[in-house]
Amino acid sequence: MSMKRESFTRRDSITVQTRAGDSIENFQGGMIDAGGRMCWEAMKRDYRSAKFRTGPIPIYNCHGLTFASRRTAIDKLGELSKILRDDRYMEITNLNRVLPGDIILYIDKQTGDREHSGIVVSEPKKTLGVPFVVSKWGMFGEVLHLAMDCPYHEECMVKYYRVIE
Amino acid sequence: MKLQDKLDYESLRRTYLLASTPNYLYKYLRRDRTLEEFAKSVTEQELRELFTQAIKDGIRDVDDLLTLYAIIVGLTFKECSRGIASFFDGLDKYDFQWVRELGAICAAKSVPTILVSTTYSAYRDKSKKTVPNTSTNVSIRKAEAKVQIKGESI
Repeated sequence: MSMKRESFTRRDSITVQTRAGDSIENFQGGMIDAGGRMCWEAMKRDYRSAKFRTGPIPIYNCHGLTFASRRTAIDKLGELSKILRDDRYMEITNLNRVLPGDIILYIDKQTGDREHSGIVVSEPKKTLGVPFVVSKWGMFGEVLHLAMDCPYHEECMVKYYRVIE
Repeated sequence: MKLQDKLDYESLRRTYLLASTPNYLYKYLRRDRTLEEFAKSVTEQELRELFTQAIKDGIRDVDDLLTLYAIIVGLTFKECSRGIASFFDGLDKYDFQWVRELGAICAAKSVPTILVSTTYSAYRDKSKKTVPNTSTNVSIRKAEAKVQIKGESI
């Protein structure tokens, strides 16, 4: 399957399904040019306490990292609802019970849009109630950061989820 | 097409590259001050013509795509008109990343307002009874859907 990395038109998708067998809309590709790479370097200077695991990888986005194993990007909010439902994600409401491997969602307080997601990699109680997470910053790279130390936390509340059955 | 003297492409680029969803893209483009200033400095007609020209010139790099986005979101700073609604619907035929989705978001956000104003007064008739005297004005205006009723009495 060709990946249209050199075009700004709609890109190819791959077959991704929920546990229940429902298709998940997705797309691959995108383009990072020299201007984008400079933008990424500037971003890294703004978040000095974060660790940057990778350079820009436009193939997948944050939801693609969290829910599609880094294979593709998921940008439709309805698809996220489908995944949470079909895969039986349960919210972990007690912060003290959040564990590495749980997922974190950044939800716009006004619109309810799930703008960003990531994977928890540390227990919150060991870092003053705020876990470290790994998340993909749009078309940029993967970043290891404190949950509130990223471009997405403003105006968003966070929620944690886990598949428990 | 690039509007270098009108838009802050560095800021727009950052928003675009950080966006994982078209909703995020819309939200932060709408807050871009240079985009808002640019949109308010031109007419609706000029924005639509710029879009047509940008498509004709071709989308060769990220900044060309950002120009499209800026024009689309820029139209949400205008009073909602049939022309604008039709423009947003027409974005469905374009295959560029997130152009259709932005069109749908902008169309949903641009809802016309209906204002109903009512003035009423009372007067005493010959029998010295208070009688209401009412008139109603209806005007249709822009932006978000809301209804207001104003009244004053004597």
